[in-house]
Amino acid sequence: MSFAELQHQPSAAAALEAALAAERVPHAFIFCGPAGVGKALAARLLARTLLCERPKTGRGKHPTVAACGSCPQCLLCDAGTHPDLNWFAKPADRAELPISLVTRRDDSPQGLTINESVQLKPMQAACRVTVIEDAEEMNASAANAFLKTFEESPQGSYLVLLVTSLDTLLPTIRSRGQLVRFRSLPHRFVADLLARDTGLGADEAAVLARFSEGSIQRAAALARSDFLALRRDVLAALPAAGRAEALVIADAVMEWASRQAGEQQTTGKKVEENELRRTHLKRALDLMGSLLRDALVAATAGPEADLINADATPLVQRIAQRLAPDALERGLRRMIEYQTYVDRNVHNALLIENACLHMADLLAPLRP
Amino acid sequence: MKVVCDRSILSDAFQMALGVVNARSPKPALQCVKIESTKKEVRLLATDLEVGIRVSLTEGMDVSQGGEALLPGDRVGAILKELTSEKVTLAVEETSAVLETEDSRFAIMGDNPASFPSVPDFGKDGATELEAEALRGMIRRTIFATAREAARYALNGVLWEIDGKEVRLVATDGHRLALAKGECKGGKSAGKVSAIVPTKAMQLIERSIQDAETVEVQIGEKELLVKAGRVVIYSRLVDGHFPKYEDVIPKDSDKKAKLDTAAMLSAVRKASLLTNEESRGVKLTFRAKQLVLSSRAPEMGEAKVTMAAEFEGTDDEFDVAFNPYFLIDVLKVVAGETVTLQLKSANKPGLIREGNHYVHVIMPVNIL
Repeated sequence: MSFAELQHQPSAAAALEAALAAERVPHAFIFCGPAGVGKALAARLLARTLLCERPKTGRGKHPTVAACGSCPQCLLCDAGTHPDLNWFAKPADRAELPISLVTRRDDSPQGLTINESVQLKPMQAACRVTVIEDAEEMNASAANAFLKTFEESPQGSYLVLLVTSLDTLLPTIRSRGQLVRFRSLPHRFVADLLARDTGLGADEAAVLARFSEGSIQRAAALARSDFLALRRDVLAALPAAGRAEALVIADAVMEWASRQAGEQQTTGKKVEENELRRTHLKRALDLMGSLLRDALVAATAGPEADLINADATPLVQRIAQRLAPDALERGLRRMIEYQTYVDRNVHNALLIENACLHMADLLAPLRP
Repeated sequence: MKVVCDRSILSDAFQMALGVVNARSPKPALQCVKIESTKKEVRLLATDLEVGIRVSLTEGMDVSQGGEALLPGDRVGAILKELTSEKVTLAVEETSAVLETEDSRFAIMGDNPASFPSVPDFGKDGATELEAEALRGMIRRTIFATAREAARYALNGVLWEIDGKEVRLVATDGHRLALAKGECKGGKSAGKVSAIVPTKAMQLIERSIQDAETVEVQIGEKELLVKAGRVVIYSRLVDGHFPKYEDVIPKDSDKKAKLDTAAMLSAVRKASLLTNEESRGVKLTFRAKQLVLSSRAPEMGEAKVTMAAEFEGTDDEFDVAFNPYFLIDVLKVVAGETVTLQLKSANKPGLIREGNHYVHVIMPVNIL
């Protein structure tokens, strides 16, 4: 199966395979699903098959089509230099996908723009494929500049939009592409991949996988940012923390997020660093929320509960015993609410202090 | 591969190829220049996926072993420029290269030549021959009328039509249209062919054929190739429909003015000084022997410029208004001393003609 590499996405793989086998490939696909679950991989596999000169067809109950892997088109695809496969994404130092990537303007980067990639005749293969990552991050002017191209893309010009949510996509764009849904990956699969790629131990990889929401990208990001160390410190300090200690924890969280953002930024621009810091703060809020979520699950589902913090079951049990479910639920809601505030640019340090104070107050019954 | 080269010839050719290289391409292979050599010649290839260039060198190249290499363009270009010796030896082993003169030696890491997209070469038959200077003139007289950022991407390019002995270049942005005609000098005509070529390629062609006397042109299914001496320019074509330009050129204009090109340009320039964004129009009032250009911008003032003109077609005074910048653009590129302006009425397009080989249509504007 040409999409065998695309694991744990049976419905997406089947949809793409069926379209290819029936030679009824729509001019535009919208791949929708969480970040890091295989959308880009699927787009690459799709493009490779479309560009291949001698695709292999398999007959059977489910006919299949796969790239041959040896023609000049496949070799260029594998080298990442195929001129008829163009990949676009939001620049790291921008908060949105700007119009200068869509259509040629004075501030456009050298190289093709999205419209050019779609509208120019192919250079080597019989067709061409344009992939747009972060397509939902197009601002209004970019989306409008793209719309005409998207509506009237020429025969043999395929577009694949990769999005994490359909909400911010223009309805006019949304309705003109064939939607393919991608799901979160099983935790075990994420853990195995993570252990293989990062050399982390199986237990550590399992913890990160459970925090990844089934996204390899997020799991890898957590591994990169020393999330395990932060979690160890927070889990150790939080249950015993009074209000004063809570502020110390908040400082540690802020310090961790800023440090990681500083180390991971690649463009030297403030926009990117702030974005990274916000992402890390959300992971820290995830961490605090996960304790409440686990306690709530443990209280209702009993011993078989599937816990995020499975390795800290005694702590979770203690919280579940001492706190009423409605208090847990309120606390959890609060932590989720704080995450949205992070995106709305509320003063980061105050926000985290508030979250830590709230947790300390909530967990007060645990203290002797 | 091993070649002893004349340094200045190789360096000049390299600079020419570098004009096309996208130094910041996300695909590292595209930041490179490909060098191919056979016993007879050395070829340099570069592409940014929109246009490509192929420079063939036979003089001053002593090839003792053929082969190919993919080398970082800007580095090698800089090295060749900085070297002072007359000869330089280029030796390639697998993917790395050594450039050597009597006093210097550079070992350069290259890339795998197979990862470079192949740039189509000039075919053996079916080329149209044109005078280089005439083609440059045709490009200069059309390219400015192409649209920028038009949603209809085909308008961002120049239409080529080769029909028997005649070559036509057409550009339009929806408000004006330029049509330049030329004669084929010879070669085999391939019947009637047409193609839409991106503006960027047209600029590159105009620049690259400066020193040539004649050029050969081939229009293929997917590409345009222009050969001038040792250089072949490749361009991808726009996949789209060009408007039916013949329908836009008015055929029933019954009023005609003969104007001195330089005097008209100067008069329009003067009159355009008192126009602004809202009232971007200069009114042309024709009388038997006289043309009055007037403009007015609210809160700024009004201008009136008078010049001699021969006007025929009606005995009455005749008014029409145009965007002065469109008039300036066309008057700047007209080579002849006089132009004719043909008109029908104030709301019908004006036609500027220079001999039989250049036609320019401008839509009028309404000014109160």
